[in-house]
Amino acid sequence: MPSLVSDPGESLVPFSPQVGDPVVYPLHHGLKPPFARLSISWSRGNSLRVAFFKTPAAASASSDDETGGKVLEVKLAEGGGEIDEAQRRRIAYESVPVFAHLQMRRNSADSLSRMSYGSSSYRAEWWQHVMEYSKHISSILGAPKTSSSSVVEDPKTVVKLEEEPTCLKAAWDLMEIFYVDKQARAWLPERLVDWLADYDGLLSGPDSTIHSKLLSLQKELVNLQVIEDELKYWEAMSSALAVGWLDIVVKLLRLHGSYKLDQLGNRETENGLVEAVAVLVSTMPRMRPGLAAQKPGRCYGTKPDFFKAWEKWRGQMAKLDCSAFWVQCGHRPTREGLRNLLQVMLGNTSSLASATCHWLELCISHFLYVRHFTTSLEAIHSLAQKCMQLKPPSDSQWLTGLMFGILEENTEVVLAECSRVFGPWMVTHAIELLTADNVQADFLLHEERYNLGGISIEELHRIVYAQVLSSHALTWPIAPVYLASCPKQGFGLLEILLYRQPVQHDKTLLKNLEICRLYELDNISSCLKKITGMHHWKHGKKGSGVFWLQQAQDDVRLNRIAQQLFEFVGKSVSDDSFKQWEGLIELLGSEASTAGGLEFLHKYKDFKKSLQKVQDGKASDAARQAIEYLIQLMKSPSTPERFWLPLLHDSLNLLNWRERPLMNVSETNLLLSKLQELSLARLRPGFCDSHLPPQALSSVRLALATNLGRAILE
Amino acid sequence: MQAQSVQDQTVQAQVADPPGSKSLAHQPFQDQQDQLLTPAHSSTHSSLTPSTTLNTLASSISVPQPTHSMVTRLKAARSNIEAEYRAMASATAEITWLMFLLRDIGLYLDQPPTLFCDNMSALHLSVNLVFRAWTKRIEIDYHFVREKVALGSLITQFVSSDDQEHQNFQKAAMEKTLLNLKEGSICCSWNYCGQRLALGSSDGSLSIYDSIDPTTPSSSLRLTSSWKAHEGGVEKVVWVPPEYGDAVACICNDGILSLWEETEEDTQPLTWKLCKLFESNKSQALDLQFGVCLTSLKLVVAYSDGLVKVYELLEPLELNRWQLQAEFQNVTDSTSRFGKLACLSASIAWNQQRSGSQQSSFILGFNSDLPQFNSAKVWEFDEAHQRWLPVAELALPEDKGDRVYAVAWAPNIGRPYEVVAVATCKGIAIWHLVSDSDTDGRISEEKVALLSGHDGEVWQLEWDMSGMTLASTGSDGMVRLWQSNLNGVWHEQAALESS
Repeated sequence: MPSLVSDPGESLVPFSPQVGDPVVYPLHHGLKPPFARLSISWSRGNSLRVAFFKTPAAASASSDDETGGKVLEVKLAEGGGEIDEAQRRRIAYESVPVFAHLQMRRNSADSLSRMSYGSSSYRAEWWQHVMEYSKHISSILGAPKTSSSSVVEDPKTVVKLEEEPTCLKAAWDLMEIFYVDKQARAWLPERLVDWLADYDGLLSGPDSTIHSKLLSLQKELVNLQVIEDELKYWEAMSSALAVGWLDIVVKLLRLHGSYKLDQLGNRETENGLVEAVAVLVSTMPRMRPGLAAQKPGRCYGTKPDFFKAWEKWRGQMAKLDCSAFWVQCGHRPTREGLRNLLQVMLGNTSSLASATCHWLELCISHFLYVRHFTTSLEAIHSLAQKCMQLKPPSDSQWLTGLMFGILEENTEVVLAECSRVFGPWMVTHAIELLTADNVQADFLLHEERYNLGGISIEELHRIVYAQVLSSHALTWPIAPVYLASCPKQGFGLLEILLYRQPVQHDKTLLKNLEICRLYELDNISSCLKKITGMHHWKHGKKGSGVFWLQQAQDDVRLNRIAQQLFEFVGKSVSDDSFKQWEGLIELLGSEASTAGGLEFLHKYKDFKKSLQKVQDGKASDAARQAIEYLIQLMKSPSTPERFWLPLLHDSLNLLNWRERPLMNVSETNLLLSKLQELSLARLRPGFCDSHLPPQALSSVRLALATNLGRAILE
Repeated sequence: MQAQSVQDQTVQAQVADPPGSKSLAHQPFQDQQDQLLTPAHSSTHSSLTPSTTLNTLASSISVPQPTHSMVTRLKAARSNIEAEYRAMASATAEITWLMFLLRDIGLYLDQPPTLFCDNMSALHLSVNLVFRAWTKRIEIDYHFVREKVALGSLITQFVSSDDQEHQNFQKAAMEKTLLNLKEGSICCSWNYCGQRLALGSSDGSLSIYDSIDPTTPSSSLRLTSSWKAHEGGVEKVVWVPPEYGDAVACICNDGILSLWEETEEDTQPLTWKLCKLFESNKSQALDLQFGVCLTSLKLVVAYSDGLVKVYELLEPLELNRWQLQAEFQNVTDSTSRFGKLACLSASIAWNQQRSGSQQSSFILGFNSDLPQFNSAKVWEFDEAHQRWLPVAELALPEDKGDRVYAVAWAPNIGRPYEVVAVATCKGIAIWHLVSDSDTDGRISEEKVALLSGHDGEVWQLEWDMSGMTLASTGSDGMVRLWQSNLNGVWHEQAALESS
């Protein structure tokens, strides 16, 4: 198979051209090649229609399948990993208002404080908005973890199995911690501890994590009789302690057999040691502003306070470590397990390493017990690298790529990882986080690039996401919101998207027109109306056809329609068809006369009506009325030239009115001049002659001349 | 609390709607309005339990979902290629480091080391624009490799997968059968909104299929009408732009071009009737395309004798009154006349500008035995002199005689330049056209990429609606998708293979 070279001049990596597979998606259509032809056509967004045509010979040879081919629709960019389609749609819909709200704020901020852009007050305010936005999106991705709701807790429940958190939410929260949450900067390690507590379960793939360890212990807990004899019990506790899940440790410690009433007597020392460790655990100093209620640990907001408390706490621990009670403790697993817990708390690196499973867990245990004040990304990065060496991650874990992108402060990598793992939704929305407080990223993502057609990376991703949205019938209506936030190419794509919507259904059409109105896309709006009008006109719904063409202000077509109507009915006044077209014009109402052709038709209708009256009743008033209409018609610029003669011919009766001349001199002169113009026009090539008798012109002229004479006399 | 109640109503409305209804479509705007009016209530969305919404969504939407195995396979495949990239990058880093080390101790290599890689796609994939499979990270690594190659310090070479451990990955795209074609079908065409399909057959009949449920674009199709259009087989069908009603033009294999329109009168039911038969003496029509120009509809037809005819619709309401506006040959030198030539095929593509400010233009290429006719040329209408002029020739001097199989003009949603794809026997060339205001509107053309992938002839080129992705299909039976990366380098993004 030949490979996929770009321009040879641009070919960057020389290679032999005989091989190399692109990403090949197999299409299962059940047809046997060969095909005479393939035909492709893009539908909306990323869906591609492929038609396979079998060669006639092959089709007849294989009589088992009678088809001569197949038409397939192929949806590209489908499949979003862990989240199913309905869920993805829910997220897509719910994030729209949040996104739009942020964009609106940006626009208003931009217009108001263009002067102070980049100033600290602007930045601070903007950062607040992004924080709000981030919290919103996070809540859309999944409900926040609720604290224990039941009053009576099952003592055997260590890890609560709640609604499964998603990687998407985990990644979002992680980015929020690093990019948006300014308050978290001072106690970044503790934020990571919290993050891990929420999402540790997601890290377990093929390898185990502390979360999975605790889960498996919990399963066995019911069956274990003497819990303190189990190595697993002690391991689980040291693991939980290493990553700072103090409540779990305390809870597990209290399950120790020495607390049982019947054993309290003979295991007094042992119980004392367990309780001492439990107290130490629950009084561990934490460098953070606060903890959730009923969580063990003591919080210190400032470094000196924390440091003092930490030293004191370590002193207590060292004292316990050296105490003589250990010798008196007869139960070996308890003694060793407790001392191991102490080692973890003392920050013994080998104990930490053996207690943790994942590199991030190890990393976090170091934050907790060894390097409390690590807040710079560089320091975290180097620590994370070391931890990775000790505990290499399994292949292609989403977290590793994302985390290192963040720690290396490489915006491109972060975006790429988001795109690779979570898809265009994530990229589009996460860009706001990346640029919230990072001038460099802001520049990188907003720089306009010629290669992309003059748009920025941010806009590109929005357009890509909008394309994905527009591939699906249920999500396309939200694509305009994203396209509207693309200053350069968004509206261009929106116009094409709207143009490709079917117009036959009034409900959808009105919705599309509403979108046009919202974004002031007058061109495409009139185009849609035009298409609708033509559709109705051609499909027998002449009334609504005219209506929509009027809405589109399509004078050319309306004039043609007027002409057609005239041709249809203009032949004879007494025709039955008069009723038909009269109704049509009546339907349009008098206000609908904005377009020239219809204005003419309206007047023509009135004229015909009064003409009819004249024929019926021969009333002089009606005749005068008809003449008035005739003059109006002849004066109006919207009356096409080719109607002049038929109009005059129709009104020959009036011109030759027996009782008295109906027109005064000036009116007659006007008609005569029109007639003159007409006879001149007849000499020009391309003049369409009407179906009137050849002597019509001269008879009209005669009548007018007579009338003029009579009028002068009068 | 008001916002909350609005939200609740929306949910109820969703439940009340029948399955498949588009009630969801209303939601974003309503939500947005709530949001805009009452920013203080922006927490309404968190107060709406996700499960409720999810359930309502799930109950009102029934869409086939990818099987789990498909998804995992896809994931695996993607990461595999990334792994290739990353491996290349890290290997490059290792090599560089080793070379520095060797140089430090006084050893110099007289040849650059060679890096072996078994995955060509790993060499060429880059940032994903639409399919989100490739990442910028890869690109960074890729450029790291690229830089070293450019510096001449590294040569990459392909190692056959047979020489290495082989892994066979299955990948999948979501596909759905819309229609089984009857025997003898030759060509088809979708209308502007992708809901009607016109199908031409070898027995000369035209069939129209309509979506069963017009609200969903991917619903199955149903035959609504079928009639015999010609004696010979129908070779090509093209829909007339929707501003001119529902009509198709088709070319029969004896070269006759006819125009059919769907109309309904008070007295007659809905029918397709012949509007116009374009007669031509000996030559056969090869290709035709409609272009919506400022006020009128234009039709370009290419004939087998190398002539191009441009017709203009005189009446916007009637598709039977056409006027021949121009007739010329696809050569830049209009004075000399050429002998008889036999054209196998021709390809036309209009510039689909919607703004109306530009002059109407189209591109045309022939597949003939006379080299002068072949190369794709951009023709632009000169309003002042009322004639068509060739403003650009899209072929390098050495390629001018190449037979052109297909052309496609990308929709422009705001680029400062136009993008055109031309397929010849040498591959698919991507051209940028920039119209310079300095050089009195003359178009300067630049070939930015030559994409080879299809083994034989390229049958068709199609741009997606953003003009970012090009789909191509050819005699190798594959559908290939091409994109440019952030640096403007074109590459094959994916391929669809029948299995």
